[in-house]
Amino acid sequence: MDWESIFLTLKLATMSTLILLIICIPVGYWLATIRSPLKPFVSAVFALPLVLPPTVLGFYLLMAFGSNGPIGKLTSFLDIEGFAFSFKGLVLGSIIYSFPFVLGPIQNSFESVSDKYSEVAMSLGAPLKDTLFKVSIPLAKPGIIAGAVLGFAHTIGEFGVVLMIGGNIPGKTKVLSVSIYDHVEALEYSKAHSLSAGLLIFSFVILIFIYGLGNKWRIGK
Amino acid sequence: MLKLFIISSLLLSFGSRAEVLNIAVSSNFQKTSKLIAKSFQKETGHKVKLSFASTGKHFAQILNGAPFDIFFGADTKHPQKLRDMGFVSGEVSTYAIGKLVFWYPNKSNLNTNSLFDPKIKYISMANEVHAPYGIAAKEFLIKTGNYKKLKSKLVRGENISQTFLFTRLGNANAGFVALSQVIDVISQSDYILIPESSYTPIAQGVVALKRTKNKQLVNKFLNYLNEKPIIELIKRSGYTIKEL
Repeated sequence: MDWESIFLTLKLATMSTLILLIICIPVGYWLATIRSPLKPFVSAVFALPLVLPPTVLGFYLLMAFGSNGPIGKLTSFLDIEGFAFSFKGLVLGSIIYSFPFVLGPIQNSFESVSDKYSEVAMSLGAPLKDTLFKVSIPLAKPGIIAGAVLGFAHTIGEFGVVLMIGGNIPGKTKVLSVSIYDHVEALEYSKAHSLSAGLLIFSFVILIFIYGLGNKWRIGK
Repeated sequence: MLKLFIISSLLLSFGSRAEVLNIAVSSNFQKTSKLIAKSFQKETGHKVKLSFASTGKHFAQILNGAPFDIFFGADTKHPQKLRDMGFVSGEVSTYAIGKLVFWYPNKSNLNTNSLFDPKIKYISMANEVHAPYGIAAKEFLIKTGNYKKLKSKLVRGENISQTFLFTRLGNANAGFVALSQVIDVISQSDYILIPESSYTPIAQGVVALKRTKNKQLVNKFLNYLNEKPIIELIKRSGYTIKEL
């Protein structure tokens, strides 16, 4: 079993999901509450990773990380490790790649609760901070959980971006999907099969969890 | 006049009944095969459709019934295996022998010691698990006793095209790529040939696949590979040819 790859994949998914939550809760709340003509534009930018092929994303990241790219120039100017072929590069790639999957459910749940309840809380004199942390966010909890789980699962299944920017280094950038791919290419079909079956079952369980959550929420309402 | 032209060209195209060849080609032979296909089309009027991927991927596709007439591998192992499994008619023939180069952009006085230039953070090579140029690069590094020293700097491209891209964009400082990729594109002072005695020759095999419906045309194409201008073209593209 490729435990190194499995561990690395879980680490990548956990870190990316945590960072995504920190970004997507405020962004989701903001998008749910603003009424601006710029909103469709912003939403379209955020939804791009949903429709772009991972190879496009990976290719542009690789260019940006390269010696003539803006990020590559910055890292060499600061004299720090570059993003290509590194774990932090994968985290950055995953954040972009999974962004709409976390943002979507969070924004949706803020949209369905923010108007009524937060207005009541505010009109009763609750400060914005309390309205946010005691009313809006707790009410949006199912959406936040769904976004986190979806982002986690989507990062586990990430392949194209990692293949483009990772360089296939064991213990550093060789994640589960890349291991499976290598086994297939090396004609080690039984090894590929056991990893693939594990991933299939894992994804299925996660999806059942998400749909179960949606059900419970609707019944609870 | 125009009408006449359209009618006559319609008649001509019906008359010759152009047929289509589907050919699977390994990534490293991409540029060269396009040129060969173009001149074959021009001379015979038959259409050639090329499909590019790694040899391992084509192998799996052919095993699962992919509709190819001819398969150009990046090695002779995969075509031979297909033959052993009964997917091939005829023999495996070597159409080109690939050459490995070490490419280090913007380096003056490049030689094999440049491998240890402290400025190098990453060296790209093709994945040695399945890519022939990766196998050759690893063989060279082991044979010269450098593999262990450089191991932590090596990053793997999925195939030889991606390996090239890593170095081209400057993500890796240098890389082991195919001569066919750098010839005519990269300045000659930026790469050196790896001594051919330090790795097993990258003999690349071509086979006719049994499932083809057009044996005659397949043979025509394979014979075309032995014609002098084509042999010259393959040599010019950065390969050697096995002398008979």
